[in-house]
Amino acid sequence: MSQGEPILLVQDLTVRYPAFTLGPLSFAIQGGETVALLGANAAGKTTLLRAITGRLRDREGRVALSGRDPLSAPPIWRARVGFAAEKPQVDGALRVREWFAFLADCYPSWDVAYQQDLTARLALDDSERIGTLSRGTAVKAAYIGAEAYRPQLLVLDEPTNGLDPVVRLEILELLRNCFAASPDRALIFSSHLLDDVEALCDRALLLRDGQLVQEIAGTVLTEARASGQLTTMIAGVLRSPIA
Amino acid sequence: MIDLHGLLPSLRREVRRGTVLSLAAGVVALLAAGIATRLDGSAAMVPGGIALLGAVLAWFGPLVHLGADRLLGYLEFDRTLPIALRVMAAGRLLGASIRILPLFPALVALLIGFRQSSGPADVGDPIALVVIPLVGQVIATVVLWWLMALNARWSFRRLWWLPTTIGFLPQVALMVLPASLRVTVENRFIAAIHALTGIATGSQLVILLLLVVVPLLVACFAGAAILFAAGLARYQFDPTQLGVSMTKGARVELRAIGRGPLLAVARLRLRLATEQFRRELVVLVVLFMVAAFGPAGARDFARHYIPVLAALLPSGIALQLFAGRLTGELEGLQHLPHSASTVGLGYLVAIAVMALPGAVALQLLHAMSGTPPTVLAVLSSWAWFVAIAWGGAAVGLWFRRRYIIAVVLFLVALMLTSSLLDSEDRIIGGAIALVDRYRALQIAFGPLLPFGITLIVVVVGVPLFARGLARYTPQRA
Repeated sequence: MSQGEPILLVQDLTVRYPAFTLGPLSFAIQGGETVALLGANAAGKTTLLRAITGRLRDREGRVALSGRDPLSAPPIWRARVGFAAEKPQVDGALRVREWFAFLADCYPSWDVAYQQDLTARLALDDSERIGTLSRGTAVKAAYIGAEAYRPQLLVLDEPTNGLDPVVRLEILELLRNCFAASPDRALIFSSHLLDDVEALCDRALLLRDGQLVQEIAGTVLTEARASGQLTTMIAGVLRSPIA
Repeated sequence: MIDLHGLLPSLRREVRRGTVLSLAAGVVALLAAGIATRLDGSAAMVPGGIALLGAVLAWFGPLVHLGADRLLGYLEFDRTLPIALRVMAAGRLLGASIRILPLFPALVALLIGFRQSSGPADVGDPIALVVIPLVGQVIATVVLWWLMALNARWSFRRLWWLPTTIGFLPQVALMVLPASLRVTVENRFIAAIHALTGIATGSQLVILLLLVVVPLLVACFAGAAILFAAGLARYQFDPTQLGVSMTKGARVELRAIGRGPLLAVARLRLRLATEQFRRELVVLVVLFMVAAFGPAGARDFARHYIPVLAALLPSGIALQLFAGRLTGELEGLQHLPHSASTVGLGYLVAIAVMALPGAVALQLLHAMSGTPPTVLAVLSSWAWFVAIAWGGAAVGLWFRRRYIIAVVLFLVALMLTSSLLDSEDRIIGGAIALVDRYRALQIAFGPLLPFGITLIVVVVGVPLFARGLARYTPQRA
């Protein structure tokens, strides 16, 4: 990645389904940024996150992760992006620590000490089978699996959904500390929890019916929250007709 | 008064789930029956054989869908519907009966082919042409009902034991009877078959249907529906059933060794395979005991099971892939920072390791039959197992549902071509020539042949596997 080049550059990204089209969307994420993705259900948030990580193959437009399209980049390029959804994508018979051990063999930059630190901070019992994890515990395991090799771009799909308040705050603090101190890393996450969004992000992208309808700075979100208008403001944007 | 509310929706849903396959199998079977009448010699058997293949696929459809419903928890939703469970079960069983109707024309096609190949070029006794396929259809339907009911009630995760059991069950059941009773049962059975094949008039057929077949069918259906409904009532979704079934007890855990992705994938698959087949390994040991010391009938039963289990040891790794496709777990492998070929080679290494105990088990079985095992024989079996399991894994990952249409079109084209051929046995002759060539290769290369074939399968399989993994998209995406 050359100097000044964004970690993620999206230009005219379009994903077409029979009954839904995402985009065309264009935006960029610079190093050190944390970006939230907001939108109603079925607005296209998960589709967008999957498209930028290279998980969605049928798409149009340009996606550049550190200057290269994840679909055409060499396999090792995938270590530059971490993706965590609601549960780890591995056979449920494995214990959490076995899954981490497997990933440690596969990711050259996997940091075992960091993994153990995250496991302790999130109070994750890594001796549990992945198939038996509760929703919140599965989210924690998936997060550590995506973060322990310190990818340049961390993509989280509803990272605090289903977590108890203590762990939720712990994750938010982890993410804040991590990305505030890392100018060469960036975070993009989707969420419906506006308090989390306001607490974490530098700016928010609002999606509606597959279109990017507005971009709101983190400071604006903070002000709206302080005046008790955060939910009303976001709902207003998501309800308003697309120009 | 039975409240039949919900019967039709349940039936319709079951039928709709298999409409495409059943219609395709039905069309192929009807075409096959028509084409078979125009052929003679052994070529006349080919259309019926192909049609039967399609009908068997359609037969498995309801079982596969029921298995998926159990695995993914959809039966829990069914239970919440405002429909009596027995009515829902009945609707589902009736729907399944409709889905497997292509079996009838397929059997007719096969029978026409059989008559054309063995006798004069006329089609033969029209009543027998209807009765025999009808009996086949009825038996297949009843077997399906009971398999669905048993599976709904007890959830068999794997059905590898099914074909052998169906084949041997009458023999094993007879074996436990006293000798005099056994002879009586056998005689009655033979007399019943004679009576069935000796039916000459339509009125006799009607009497048989009304007095024997229909009451028997109703009893079988009611029993299966009650059992199915009991399964629905007791069903509980268990997310841990997705993928490899979990066993209890101490075992070696996977640890990081830092030797790269190939070994990491291989060790992951081996770790899961040892957990997946723990129960099967115990069954294998028991079967060896039965094969060595059991009574004659049970010994045959065990000797047919052992090769299946031996092949399942490496093939189970391929089956893990199918589970991964269904649950979306393959995406985790797809996005490792390594090439899909490397991941594939990891699978291949795991298969090669699991093929070894399978090959040893097979040769041990041969030794019990009087053939002394040799290292070369073990390696030859090992090579076959690797070829089968790796070929299955690669093709299974690469295969897409839309390819089915291409395969069906190819088979139909084959049948149409065969119908245009004259009465010489060109198709069968070609197949026999292929077998002859294979035997010639066997003589020329001896025990090296399986290694050559395995090498070809490995070389072709790696890019197929890689392509399949790279293009994989979870259904939910």
